[in-house]
Amino acid sequence: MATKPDDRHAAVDDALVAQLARQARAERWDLSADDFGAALRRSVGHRFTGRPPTPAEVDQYLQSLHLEDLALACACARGHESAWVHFMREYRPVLLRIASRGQQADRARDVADSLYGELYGLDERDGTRRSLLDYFHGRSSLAGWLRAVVAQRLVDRARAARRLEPLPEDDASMPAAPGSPESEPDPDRRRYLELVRRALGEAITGLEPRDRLRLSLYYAQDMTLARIGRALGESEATASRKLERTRSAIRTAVERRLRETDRLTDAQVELCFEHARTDPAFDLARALPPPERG
Amino acid sequence: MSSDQKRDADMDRLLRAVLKPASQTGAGACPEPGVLAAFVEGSLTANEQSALDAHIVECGRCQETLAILSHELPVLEAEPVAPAETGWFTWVTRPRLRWLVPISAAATVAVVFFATRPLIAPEGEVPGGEVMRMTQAPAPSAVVPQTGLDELREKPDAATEKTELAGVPERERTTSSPTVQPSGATGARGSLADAQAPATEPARDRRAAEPAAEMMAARVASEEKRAQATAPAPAPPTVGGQAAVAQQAANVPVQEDAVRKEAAAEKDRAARVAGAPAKLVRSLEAGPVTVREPGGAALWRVGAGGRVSRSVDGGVSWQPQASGVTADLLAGSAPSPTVCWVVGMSGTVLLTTDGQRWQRRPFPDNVDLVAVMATDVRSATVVTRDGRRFETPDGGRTWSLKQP
Repeated sequence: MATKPDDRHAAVDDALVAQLARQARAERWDLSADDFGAALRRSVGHRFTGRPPTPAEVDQYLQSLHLEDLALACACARGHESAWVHFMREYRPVLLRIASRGQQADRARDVADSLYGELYGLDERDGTRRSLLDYFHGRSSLAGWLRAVVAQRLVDRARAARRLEPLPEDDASMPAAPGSPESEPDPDRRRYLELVRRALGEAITGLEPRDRLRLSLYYAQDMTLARIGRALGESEATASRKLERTRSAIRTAVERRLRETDRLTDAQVELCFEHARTDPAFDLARALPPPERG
Repeated sequence: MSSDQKRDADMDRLLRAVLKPASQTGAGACPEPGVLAAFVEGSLTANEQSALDAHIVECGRCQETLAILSHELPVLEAEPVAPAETGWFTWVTRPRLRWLVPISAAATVAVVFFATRPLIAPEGEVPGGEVMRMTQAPAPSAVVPQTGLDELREKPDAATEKTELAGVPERERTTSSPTVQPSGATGARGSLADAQAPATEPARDRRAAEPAAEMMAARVASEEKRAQATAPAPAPPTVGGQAAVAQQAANVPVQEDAVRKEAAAEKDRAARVAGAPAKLVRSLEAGPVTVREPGGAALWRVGAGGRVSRSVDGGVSWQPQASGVTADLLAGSAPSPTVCWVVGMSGTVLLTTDGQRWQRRPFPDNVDLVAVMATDVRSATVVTRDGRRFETPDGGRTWSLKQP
């Protein structure tokens, strides 16, 4: 989803910039129309990568931005003193709170503090100050953007740490792979397991992305229904209802496939589930198509 | 456990086995923080959201990020929460208030019917039966002469059809064989004028509500009386003024408690309907309005009687705050975690700049304010019940009417 800024087509005329600057109250931070206009054009260029947007699209997009937050970020990135004081007062608690989600409490401050240098723009490239806030384009609230920045860094740090964990040395304790001779008391077991894998894989890949995402957050991330609802903009009740509906649809699809496509009897379908239930290493990951690499 | 439940449990286990945390990133690069933040704030376009869904479902990194962010996001209520910037119509069409719509419609038609009858009635004619119906439910101990109603029952009535069209409940229609007479009482005209005019002050609201309430209550009582065919009718009043109405009100007997209760309920309902729409909503609606700061760090709940509470943990816990007013609060807008504007009845405008303490801001009109849209601590636009928009550029010190 990374986009390459392309503001060649970001036609935002000066009158519109002036109007939006007034809406954003950019004068509070002594932000010039040029600076704010450049931020707006950068934002438009980011949003409409690779194609020239229509004037109506640009207008609608600009009106949807969090303009005051954009002006504040722009002023902070340019080192405006009172803007930075305001930013620290309003957003430092936000940073600390989100940082504490992935770290122990005593390290949360370290995580948040490590960002301040980047946000303030201590780095200079070609004599130009570079602030992380230059990458805020106003599509979300500034608080939301800061949370997402911190959350991604926490995840990256955790995933990097996981990669350094040693792999198990002894495979002897691992359960026998399904289908291996010693785990095959029933000659049909292997076939039935394969049928269930295939049916389940098809049912899951046939879901709408949003339904599949809800399923993944619940089963893979162990998120509660309340948190899933928050993440996807739904109430807990809605998340629960939709998850149940998806689960029911998967079950129906699996059973239908086993009966109609694989021509299994009810008893055989029952046996399929029995084998899958008792298989210690039942893993359908290989039944799911690998994600396409972009 | 039934076989069906067992199969469900099997499916649950299988899904848990299949859907393990993705170790790899999904198709394409992960979204930038701004896009991810817009995703959880619900401000992406449908196409963008769908594309991001497809990425995240394959991307362990994004799922874990989402899992962290979910701690900080506000809880959404099970029922759709009306945005703070909505008008009263949107409010009353919320699922739990939809029952108000037919009642409001019926009552409005009834009010219009009563108010327009003087235009139909012969000039100067003030039938006693109508005066009776204009009165409030009487005291139980009162004794009244019963002459005159029989005469009324015998009169042909041009307004029969109107009565039915006015939304009279089926129960009333079946029990009221005689029809009502048009009234020449000036009170009806007055009540219409009051009910239709924008309520600019509470006293006017009450004036608008009371005659309509009396009419609705009196209808039930008088219809019940006329059902008693053998009872002697009271003597008709000689004049149709308010004094006579009040006198008659004290003299009408009540035969059954059920009738009194029904009349009281009708009065209550009519009073609410005849009042301001926003007031109707606030007085009948149980749930408060939730105001969400865009980042989700703070939530406010505002409601009847000036009640305000705040949550900084996504709605898990709420701390009451002193608003300093008792007016019903109807809407709010919070541009930041510490700044929130709230508006309500009778020109009530409240502002907090620290998230804790509320200050009442002056407003030039005593009209009910049904919506507010604030961009920051200084700039806000409010919408009056009659659709006018006022804006302030200086934190509510001055207001100017916004031209449509």
